[in-house]
Amino acid sequence: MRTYQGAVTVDVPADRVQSFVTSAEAVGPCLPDILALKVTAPTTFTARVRVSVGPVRGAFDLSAEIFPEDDGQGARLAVRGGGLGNGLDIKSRLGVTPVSPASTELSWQADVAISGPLAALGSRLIDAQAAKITAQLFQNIQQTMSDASAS
Amino acid sequence: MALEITESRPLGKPIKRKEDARFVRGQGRYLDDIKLPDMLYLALVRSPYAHARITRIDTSRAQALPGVRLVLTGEDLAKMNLAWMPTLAGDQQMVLATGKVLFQYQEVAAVVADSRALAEDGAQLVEVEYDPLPAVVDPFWALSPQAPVLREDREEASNRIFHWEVGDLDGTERALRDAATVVTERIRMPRVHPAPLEPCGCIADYNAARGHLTWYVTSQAPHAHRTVLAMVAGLPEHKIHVISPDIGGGFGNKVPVFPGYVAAIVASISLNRPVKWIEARTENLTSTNFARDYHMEVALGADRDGRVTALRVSTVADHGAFDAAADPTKFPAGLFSIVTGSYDFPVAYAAVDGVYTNKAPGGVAYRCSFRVTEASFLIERAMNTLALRLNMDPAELRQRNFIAPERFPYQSPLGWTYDSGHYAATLQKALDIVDYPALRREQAERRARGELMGIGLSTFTEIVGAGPSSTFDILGIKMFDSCEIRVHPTGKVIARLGTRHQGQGHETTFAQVIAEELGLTTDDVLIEEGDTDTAPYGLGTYASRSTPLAGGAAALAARRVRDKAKKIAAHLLEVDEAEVEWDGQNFVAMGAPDRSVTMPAVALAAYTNLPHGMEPGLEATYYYDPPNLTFPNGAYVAVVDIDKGTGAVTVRRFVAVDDCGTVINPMVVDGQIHGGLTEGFAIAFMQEIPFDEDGNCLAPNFMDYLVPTAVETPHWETGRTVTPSPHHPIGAKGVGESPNVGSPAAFANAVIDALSPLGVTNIDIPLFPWKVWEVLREHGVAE
Repeated sequence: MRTYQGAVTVDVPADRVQSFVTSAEAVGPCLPDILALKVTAPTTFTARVRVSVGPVRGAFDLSAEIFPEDDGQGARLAVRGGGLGNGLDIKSRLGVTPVSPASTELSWQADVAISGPLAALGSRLIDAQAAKITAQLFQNIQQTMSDASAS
Repeated sequence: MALEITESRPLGKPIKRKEDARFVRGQGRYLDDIKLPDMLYLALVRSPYAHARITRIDTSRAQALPGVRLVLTGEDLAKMNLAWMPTLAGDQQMVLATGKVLFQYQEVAAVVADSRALAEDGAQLVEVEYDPLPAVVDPFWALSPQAPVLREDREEASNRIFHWEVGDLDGTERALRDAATVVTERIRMPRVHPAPLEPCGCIADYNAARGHLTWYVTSQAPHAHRTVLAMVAGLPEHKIHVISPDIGGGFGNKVPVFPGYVAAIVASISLNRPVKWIEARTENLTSTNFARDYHMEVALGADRDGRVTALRVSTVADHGAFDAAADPTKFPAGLFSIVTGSYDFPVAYAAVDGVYTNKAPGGVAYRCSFRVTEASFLIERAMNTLALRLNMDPAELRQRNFIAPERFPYQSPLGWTYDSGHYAATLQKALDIVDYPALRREQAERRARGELMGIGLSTFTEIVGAGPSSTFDILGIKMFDSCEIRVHPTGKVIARLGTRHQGQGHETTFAQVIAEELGLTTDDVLIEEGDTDTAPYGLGTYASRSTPLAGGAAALAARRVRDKAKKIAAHLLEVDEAEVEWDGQNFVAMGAPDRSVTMPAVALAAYTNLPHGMEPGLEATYYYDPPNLTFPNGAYVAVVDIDKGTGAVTVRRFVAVDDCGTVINPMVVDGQIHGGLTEGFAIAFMQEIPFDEDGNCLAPNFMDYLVPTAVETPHWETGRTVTPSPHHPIGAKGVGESPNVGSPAAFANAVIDALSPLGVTNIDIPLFPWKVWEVLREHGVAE
């Protein structure tokens, strides 16, 4: 089990950020290296993503579910799946905190459990790659919301 | 052209290995070289989780892939009552998982296709959904009442596989209480893997019309595998033909039966076509049988003079998800009770608890005779700790405690009868070769300069050659071995044995034994092994048992041949049999040395000119059931230097003096020693298969599980003493495993010796540079 965390500030009001992160339609496309996406319900989606970590190269099939927090300040995102003999289980907490009326801090903490050959790559490759992929996901969220706000 | 080996009286001579003529030319025939017409290929779907419930398996996409002929799951096998198979240790193991998986890389489904690539592609298309469960990785936690019970198939709601103990606990406790000095230490021998160059595999070729299975398999024990297969699959044993072709190393890895074997056989029977399964390297390292993983605690008592008075050992043995060791039935912890080693302990006690965890199954005898390496490592490390505590030279401590030569046959406190040995002489020879006093002087000088130099000793005793059959069996099959000798009319010999070499040189050494007994040359004798339709029944090659058992069978079968030949010789010499002598090469008429006949002449007569009423032919078979095991031993000295900047250990010298009794071929013995020392070096410094807290295997390839190359391997110096086994037909004891058994402790003791001025008494192997460097840093001496 590895834990990754970070935060970005987006120039978008908190209520819109909350709406975004609790919508499968919105979050699903932000997954990095996505090959296919199917939104199966307002808070669930399945996706096929390209994975390239050291000698492990191919596609992972993932299924995700969003659980909005009761206080309306964030959500939990659970992702499970795998491919090429690997398993992936991500449990993440997305925090939505107003910074000003027009900007919001989006923070995340993700507990990532990896099984299979990928896990053996250990600290040599996994940490850097997982941090990069996680950061990319939230950069994509930030970018998508910023673009939507600008338009 | 083949090598010509025409030397007479070949026993004890460095005859070049006959089998190398094909190996060095790339003309060996290994399993993956065999390609049968219409052959299909099998790939396995493996679990990414160490512990998880299987919630769904969907094979439809794989079955739809063009070229895929069959997909098997555990449910399919369950319908045939083949979802589980017995292990050689008396446990049972899933063939393809049903219900839940118990270790990462466990076999979950099998895909059979027209090519290996298609089979692998099909395996990727099998969709398996898992519900992960908490993994039990720590064997001590596995024994806790709070730990989840892993094996739901067992009646016993516990992760304990067995509790085994031997010796006198009360007497040992008393002796420890009375001892002037008691040292205790926790000694861990980590999980390693034999990692033969050729992984495991098989080709199952079922002929439905004949109801006959030909099974090519990387097997160290083809006869035993045939019997197990007959019992598991319900096939008539006489309709199973097991062929073990050339094997690229075994080291215990190729003794058990693996799920891939069973899946391939089921697939071949289902499709009526040959099916090949052969592992990839990762599959080999992660699923087909690890070794060691012993967690030991020792208490060793001594009197004021440094004489050992008692030994108590308790051990937790991590067997992984299934007990897939190949230990003899009565010995769930193998021959670990050799743990008193070369020393004259008045009393001792040892206990072992076998434990299930969410790791790959096994516990095989990796180049050792069933847990003997673990035992040897423990006692040799403990003796080192005692020497440190007593501030006594470790050589002196050993000399003071050796079993004296006049005490053989020696009854050990844990139940063994040692056959022979002269431990003091063997150690002295090793000390002389290294000039031990000079090394200690050099060490003192270097220490004064702040340098870290260490000298490590290991004076081990092995126990090998199981049987006798009265004590040893595997799944009820008595442990003996066999040889059948046929002498052809021209005096050429074919001999078949129940063993199966994997690089040991049997085609040469057994030829030497037989040629010596029959007055022939090695070139006159062809050795065949590994074919159950031709070779007599035997239990195979592992645990250093080939020379002690099949070597004995070869000598005794040859003597049976010679007994008959003598009668024919008397006929040819026209004298009474009692007036015929065997001079080692010829039958000679007593008192008339000019009148003699050779074995080839006798062989021709056996088919052309027999005494009246004698049965034609010249052949014999011997099933050898030894009266006792044999006890090879040795004295090893390692000299190391430690770099204070990196923690890297350089093995400057390593001297190995072995006593394996009568030496059949010194060149082959040296080769065995070199190979085993290299493995021991790797175990001491480079190799471990660790797991993270989720049960992920962290060394599933040769990037993480290191194998020494010629660059890292030290120079080996060898020597020998010869104390023949009194009960073996030619006095041989076996040697293949001694260096792996004896050397890890010598390396570790050398490193501890270098660090002992810092107060260090133990570092768990493998002694990676970072691990040594951390110790140096803790003590403020890292540079």
